[in-house]
This record gives sequence, structure tokens and C-alpha cells, in this order.
Amino acid sequence: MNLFSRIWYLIERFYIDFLNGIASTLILAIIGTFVGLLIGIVVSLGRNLKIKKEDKPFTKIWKGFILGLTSIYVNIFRGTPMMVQAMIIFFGASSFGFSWSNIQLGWIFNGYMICGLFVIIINTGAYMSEIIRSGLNGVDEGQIEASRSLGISYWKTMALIVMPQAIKNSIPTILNEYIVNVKDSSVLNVIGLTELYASVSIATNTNYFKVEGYIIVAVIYLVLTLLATYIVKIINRKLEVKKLFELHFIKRRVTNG
Amino acid sequence: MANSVISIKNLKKSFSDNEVLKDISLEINKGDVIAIIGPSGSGKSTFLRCINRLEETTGGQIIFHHKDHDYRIDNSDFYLKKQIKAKYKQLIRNASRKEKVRLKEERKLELSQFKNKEKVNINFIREKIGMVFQNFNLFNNKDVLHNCMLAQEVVLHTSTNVAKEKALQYLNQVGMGDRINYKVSEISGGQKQRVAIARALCMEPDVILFDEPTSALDPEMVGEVLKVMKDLASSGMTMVVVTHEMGFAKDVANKVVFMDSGYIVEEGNPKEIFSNPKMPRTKEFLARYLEK
Repeated sequence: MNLFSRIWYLIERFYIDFLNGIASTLILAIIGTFVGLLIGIVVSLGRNLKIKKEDKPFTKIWKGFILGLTSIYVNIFRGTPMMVQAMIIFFGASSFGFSWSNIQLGWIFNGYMICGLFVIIINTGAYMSEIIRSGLNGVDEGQIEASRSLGISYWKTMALIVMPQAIKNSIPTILNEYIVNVKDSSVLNVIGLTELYASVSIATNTNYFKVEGYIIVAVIYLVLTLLATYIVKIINRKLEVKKLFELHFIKRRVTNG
Repeated sequence: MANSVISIKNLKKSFSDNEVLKDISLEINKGDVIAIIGPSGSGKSTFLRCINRLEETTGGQIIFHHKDHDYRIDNSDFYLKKQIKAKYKQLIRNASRKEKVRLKEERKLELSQFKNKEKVNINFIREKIGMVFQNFNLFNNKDVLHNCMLAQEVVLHTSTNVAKEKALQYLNQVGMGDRINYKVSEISGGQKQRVAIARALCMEPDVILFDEPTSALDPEMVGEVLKVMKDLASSGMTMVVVTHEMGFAKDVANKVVFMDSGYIVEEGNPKEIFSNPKMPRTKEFLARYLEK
């Protein structure tokens, strides 16, 4: 048996396991990115609060509390590896009398999956909040002032004017975070979650075609990320390039007469 | 006083140690078109921004009159309170034990004047005071029509149809009725500023503040914006215009205020100021225009 026939053998015999692995990985990446984005939006609003000199003492306290809480969250989850977080959250739960592995919601949504989703969501949330925050800072102060001068409240200004622009500007970075999640979800196999990476060990634990198994998985990962990259590229082209190039050409046209 | 829209008394504003507005008093009456002129850095824009509290004031009074009600816009209570607290802190530190009790009572009494003051919702005031900015500051995520509709729907809670009707009416007034579906990035600077004026008008404000509305435009576009403003002035709108367009100040304004280094140096009707200014500083500033 040569390399290719061994690969074909694995695909033929264990394609169900690989497909399950793909499903798990995609669910982790998609739900993790999406819910993480929602968390990131909320957290970025908290981190974007500014304590003013004129604020009342009570306002200062709650603003300070939220600022402290959100920055602790972001710094802890950005500053430690996801693998370590997963271990602590999965095995640490038992000391609170709670066991992840008891959960069973059907199909691939077992306790490991739920815990994995939890880890990837809070981890992504921390990164997303920073992405959205830089997007918020990119929206010029003038629009906020204009909105305030019309009598629109701070939170409505944020929700209706600033946030849509911030999210639109950070769509490429958000999709990049999705690509990172597709790959990084592989570390979640440490808690026993059988996603794409872990599906290799299922397929190869009797026949020891390890290298072949990982080649298959590498190709699948590559296809998944390349697809996402391609989508990022198209969206990028629609958003950025159009804007920049058109402005550039308009300017050129004007200056050239 | 019944005619007054905004009265400003002894307004002060400082950024940390830098005092920008030193002592400004001005009465804005109904139907007034007030042009504020002066060199850059004299505090004109800051003054305008203080009027709808985009900048917090550090002293003096701004009172907004709306339908027989007076609303305090300024934030000087906060600073007065702070000053009183600081004063007593100093006194108490150096006082004997007996005096301390007395001083604390006194402090309580003096601070009690701030306690039962009616708190003004600044968003309510801002509804009634429109503002037009130098850099247009249109909402980039909305088209021309929705720029004008947003505040109506969110703040005044008007229905979409009514808001749209009103937006169309004012967009037509500024000559932008045929571009309602354009994106903000697709229209020129002059058109942007006209939309910004329409956006302010949609709230039907008592007064509109213009913060150098033509400074970011090329000479060709200045004309179209100034024409809209002239029409607005003749329709009886109360306007406060910070401007470097001396022609506009001369022709349209009924009151010209010359500001320099945080003070109002001279105010009066435009004919007087542009032909025969009293103060030497005004003469110096307007030298170029006086010759004409």
C-alpha cells in the first residue's frame, strides 16, 4: 500500500468521523465567532466609557466598576492560552459540584462540545471587544457631536450611528478572527472534544496511519480557511477597495482638471 | 426679556489651566442673526459649543428661554460647589476644634442651595438648539434622507411618514430635494453642508448655531451655502453664526460680535462695526475690509 492508497483507505472507511469532525469544527468556529462578536460589542461599549470630571460620584463609581470588570475580562482571556482556559474551565467545574460531561443535548452537542463552545465564545469575545473598540475609535468624534447636538442620547447615538459604522469597518478583521477560530478550535481536543483534529485519532487508532490522517485533516483545514479567506477577499474588495480607489480617482480627476 | 431666546451672563470656560472664555455676556433675541467674528483662537467656536453644552462651562450662566420656561444650560453649579468645598476644606484644616463644628454647619448651609435645583435634561435643550458644524458631520451610515429623518424618529418620536414629509420639505428648501437617496460620500462639500442645515431644521429648533459653516468649502461652494443661510435668515430664523465671511456678516447679520482672546471686544450693528469700529483691536482686525 502506498501513501495515496492509505489515504484513500482512511477516507473510505472513516469519512463519517471526518465529516463529524468538520461539523464540530465549523459549529465551534461559526457560533464562537458570532456569539463572541455579540459579547465583544457589549464589552467594547463598556470599555469605551469615559469618566468625566463633571460626573456625579455615583456615576463615577459604576463607570469605574464596569471599566474595571471589562478590562479584567479582556486582559485575562487575551493573556492566557485557550488550551489552559479550556482545562481550567472543564476540570475546574467539578470543584463547584458541576460536571460538563453530564450534559447531553443530542447529536454532537455533548458536554464536551458545550464546554468547548463556552471556552471559544468567551475567548473570542475578549478579542472581538478589542476589534470593535478600535472600530469605535475609528468613527470620527464629529458625528457623535452632531448626533448629540440633535438631542439623541449617548446610548442611542452609539447604537444607531457609531456601532454600525464600527462593525462595518471591522468586518475584515472579524472574518479573520473566524479563520483563526477554525484553526485554533483544534486545541479544544484537550478536554476530550472530538473536532476535526481529534477525529484523526479515532480514524487511526487501529491502523496507525497517523501521517496520512493528519494530511487529510490538513487539507480539510486548508480548504476551510481558504474558503473563508476568499470570502474575506470579496467583502474586502466591496468595502475598502471601492472606497479608496474611487476617492483616489475622483481626487485625481479633480486636480487634473 | 420676553423676546430673548438665550441669555448668557459672565460665561467662563477653561481647559485645565488655559482660560479660553474669560467673561462673555450676550443676549440672543428672537429673529436675531448674530455674526461672531474674530481671529482664530479667540474662543468663538468654544463659545458656540458651550451654548448647547458640547463643552462644559466652568462659570457664569447660560439661560435658555422656551415657552415661558427658563432652563439653565451651564454647568457652573458643579464648579461653584467644588470651589465652596475647597474653601471650607482649607478653613477647617486651620481651625480649632470648636470652630470646626461651626464651619461644617456653615458649609452645609451654603451647599444646601444646590440641593433642590431642578435638573435639566440636556437632550431636551439640544432638541431646541440646532447646530451646523464646520466639517458637516453627517452620519456616514445613512443616506441624505435618513440623515434628516433619524433625529425626528428617535427624539421626537414622529411617525416615519411625517418625518419623511418634513425631511423632504426642508431638503427641498435647501435645494437638495433631488438627491435624497444619495450616500453621504457621493455628494460634494457644499451639498453636505446644505443637508446638515436641513437636518438641523427638521427638528424645528428655536435657534441654530453655525460653527464656521463655510470654512471647509471651496469658494464656489461657499456661495450656495451662504445663499441657503441668507434665505433662512430672511425667513425669521434665529441664528448665531461664527464666520470668517465678512461679506455675510455685513449683509445678513443684524448684530456683529467681535471676539478676541476670550472677551467680547465690541458688539453692535454691522454697519457701525464695518465702517466705524470704536476699539483699536477691531480696527486692526478689520483693516483689510474697511478699505473696501
